[in-house]
Amino acid sequence: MIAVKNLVKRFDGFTALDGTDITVPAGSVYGLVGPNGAGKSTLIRHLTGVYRQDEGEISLGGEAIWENAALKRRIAVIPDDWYYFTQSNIRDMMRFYRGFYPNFSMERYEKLKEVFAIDEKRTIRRLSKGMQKQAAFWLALSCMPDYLILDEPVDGLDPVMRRQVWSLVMGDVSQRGTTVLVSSHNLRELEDVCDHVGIMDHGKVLLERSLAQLQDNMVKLQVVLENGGEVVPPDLPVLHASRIGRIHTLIMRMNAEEATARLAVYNPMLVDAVPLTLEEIFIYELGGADYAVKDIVL
Amino acid sequence: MSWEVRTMQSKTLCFNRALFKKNLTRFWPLWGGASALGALVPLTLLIELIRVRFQISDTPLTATASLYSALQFVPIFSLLFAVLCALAVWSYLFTARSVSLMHTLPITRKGIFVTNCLSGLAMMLIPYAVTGGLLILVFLMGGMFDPVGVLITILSVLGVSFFFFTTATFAAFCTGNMFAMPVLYGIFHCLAYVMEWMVTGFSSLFYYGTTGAMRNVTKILTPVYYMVDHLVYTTTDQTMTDLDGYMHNELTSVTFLGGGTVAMYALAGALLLAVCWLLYRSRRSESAGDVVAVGWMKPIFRYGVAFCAALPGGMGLYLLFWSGFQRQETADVLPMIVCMALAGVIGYYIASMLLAKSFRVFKPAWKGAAATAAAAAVLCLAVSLDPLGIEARLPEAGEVTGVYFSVGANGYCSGSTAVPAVVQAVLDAHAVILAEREELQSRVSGYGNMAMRDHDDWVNVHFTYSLAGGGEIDRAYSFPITYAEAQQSGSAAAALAKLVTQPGIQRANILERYDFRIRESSEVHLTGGNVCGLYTPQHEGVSPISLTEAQSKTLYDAISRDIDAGHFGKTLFTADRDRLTYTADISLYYIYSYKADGPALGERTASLSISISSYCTETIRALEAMGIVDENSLLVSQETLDSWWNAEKSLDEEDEYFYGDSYPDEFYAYPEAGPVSQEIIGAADVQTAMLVTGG
Repeated sequence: MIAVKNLVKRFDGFTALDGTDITVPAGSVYGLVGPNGAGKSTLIRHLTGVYRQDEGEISLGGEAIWENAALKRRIAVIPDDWYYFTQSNIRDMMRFYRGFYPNFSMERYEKLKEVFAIDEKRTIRRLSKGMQKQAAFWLALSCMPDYLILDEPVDGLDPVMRRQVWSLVMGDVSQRGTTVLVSSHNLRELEDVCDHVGIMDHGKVLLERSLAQLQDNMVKLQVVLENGGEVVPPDLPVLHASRIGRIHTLIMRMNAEEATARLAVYNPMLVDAVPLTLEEIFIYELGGADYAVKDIVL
Repeated sequence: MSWEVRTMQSKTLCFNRALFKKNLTRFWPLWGGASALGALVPLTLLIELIRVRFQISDTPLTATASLYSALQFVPIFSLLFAVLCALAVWSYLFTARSVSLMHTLPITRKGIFVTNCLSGLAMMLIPYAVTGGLLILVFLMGGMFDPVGVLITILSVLGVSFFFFTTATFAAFCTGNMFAMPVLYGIFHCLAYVMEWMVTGFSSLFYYGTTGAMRNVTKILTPVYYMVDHLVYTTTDQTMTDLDGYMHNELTSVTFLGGGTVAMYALAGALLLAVCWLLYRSRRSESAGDVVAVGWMKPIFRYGVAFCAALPGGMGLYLLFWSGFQRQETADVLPMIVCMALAGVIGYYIASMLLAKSFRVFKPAWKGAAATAAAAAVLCLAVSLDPLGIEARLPEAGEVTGVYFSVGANGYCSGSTAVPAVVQAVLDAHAVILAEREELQSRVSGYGNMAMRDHDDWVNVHFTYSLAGGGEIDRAYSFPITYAEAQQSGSAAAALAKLVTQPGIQRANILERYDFRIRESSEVHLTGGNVCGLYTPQHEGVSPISLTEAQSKTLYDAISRDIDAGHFGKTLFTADRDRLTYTADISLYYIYSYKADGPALGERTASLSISISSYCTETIRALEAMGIVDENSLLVSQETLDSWWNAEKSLDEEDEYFYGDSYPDEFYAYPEAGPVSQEIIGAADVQTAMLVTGG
């Protein structure tokens, strides 16, 4: 389990993390989402022992990460902008990683060679961005990590390769119980792989739930009111409302049954509950945090 | 051994083999190139050995002497190479991406520190090892191997390399910027020297008589400078005669004198490495890219840059914009305050821009800039008030171990002495100058030419006192005088006129080198000499007349008597110098045996050159007694000048040929109307120059 409690980090007076709390259950895939500048990458650098927190606690499997080489041997990281030595090829980097990670599996490395189909003797800087990302996955997965921390991991990968790497990651989760924390803006993709989601904004985690809970906690209703009513009853707790013709689309923070029951008193002609996508949840949750799509005419 | 086992060992030893190997393989061109260059030395030596078919006269001690002499270059090479090696191993600190990689790896900061330090040192030492190893092989082949010399050389190279690498590492830890690192490194190595230069130069602007000459008290904090001076050796040798009867010198011992210096800097390197570890341990990863990576160093950097800009920048601005309006010897305080404050503020803003990585710092940094301007003003004002009494400082006679003097008026007189009575005489004259300093400064206010309207000559005085504690006081004064005041007791001119006739002063001026050899060497004796600058009764020059050994001794005694009687130096403060000094010059040759200051090549010869005036009665009498001069052959300078002018009424044909019509006709004509004045600038003891004005 990854546990972060009341994490605070300041950069020259700017508070990047302001009491962040997250809990990633062991063996789960945790999606960390949030607007740009929310503090996701900063949080990840704390989780990987790059940054030292000003306040708070970080533990992975009950152990503090800071200066814990033994724990780091069980963690593999793919940052947003993966660093490799300028003149190195994948094989050089493999040797380098192998010198640090005792669990590094040459068997897996050789197997993944077929998956990624990249010339391992080609200088990495000559590879395309997507291929470099594949190389990062290749090496990270060969380290046989217990914790896999990914920052925008599939950015730059083609759709086939995206599916491929997610398949490999999910395979590790199911077979080895790997705990995965992934930060991404691709919510559609996260929705498919994550079982837990945390939404960050302004250095804080606004919401942290399992995906099922999250989807159960908010509902999208398509409603046609009696006699073609144009105004949504004001006593309904609506997060967002829109109307096309006679059909009102309402977003409400409650489950579908409760929302249908609340609407029943107005004798609607039609009520249809539609599950929200993660992207919609993200947008409407952050809309409450003063981060919504603004209708600006340029 | 499996790599897992090796990893376990690495964990125990805080050393990571993979990182070490990666460092060396990544940066192999660095140490490889240096090794290739270094290998040229033994290869050249080997080729030479092959050329002479190993028939060499060099001994192991000769080889050791060569190694020790090469040690002087090690600090210079290490200074440059260390920054490259440190830059290589610590380059990861300068970009956020590489910091992220290194610190996500399963290795502690201690592990990275130890491994990278060892990698960097290995990179530094490999070229030395290659060069040294090949040299040892060549020495062995040539029968020149001296194990003690080689061991001392190895230890010295290790110590010096270690020191420079730690200083480069320190610089790397102070910054997060790759370009700032070598700059900081350079600053660390010359900061003390530059600071001394700035402070000395600045104070010399305010204090009359201070010269700005550096005492090099900070030399020890400028390691390369200090090491190059101290990594030296001495040799002793013996003159041998070979079977063919030829004499040659053979080394009997070679002693390296720089061991203490190397040990001192190696120890300093060890302490610095401990500081480096503390800095590294507390370093924030997010400082990658920052010019200053350590929080508490930022204000030091900001105000340090401001200070360093304020002093030389302020002086530069002052010299550029105000020195033309200056009406006294010392700087005007108010304009200097303005210049210093301006330069300090500029420096402060530059530092702020570097720290903020932005040009938009004017508004947020205005308070600091204002504080800098105020501090610069206070500093300038405080220095100008001379709270330490630097301007008027005169050392006590008891604390002076020696003095160098130079007095120039109508001729020059200079030398060094440690004789207490002579030192006291210099101090007395100096005290009179200090007592009159305001009056003397006021004479300069109208600039040189204007000042010279009311005065006869310009006096240049320079005193350098060596103090018992190892310090030095250096003062120089320059002011116009009249020859009349040189006769008035109590004036600076009179004090100096009296000083230059002191026997001790003239002995130092004329016979210093000879006296020094007498003190230093067991065998010094006069061997002869000559007298030149003599004339026939028709004022035609005659060839120099050689002196025998006996004559030279007689003349030396006569000169000594004239010195003791105060006959020398009397023409320096008089307008009649040309009518008093003779054109005749006496050269006395002497031989002295060297004393361990170079290779033993036997005795050395040297000479004394003495100009005489009509006051030197003892010397003239001796010359006359020898039959070398008489009243016709001894001319004063004025007589030869008169003869020359009479002969050269106009330029001759030869001159015409050479100069052609480059100048207007009137230039070639000797002026017919108006008096001609001739001014001789020079001294009885040195070369004389002549100025001609009039028409």
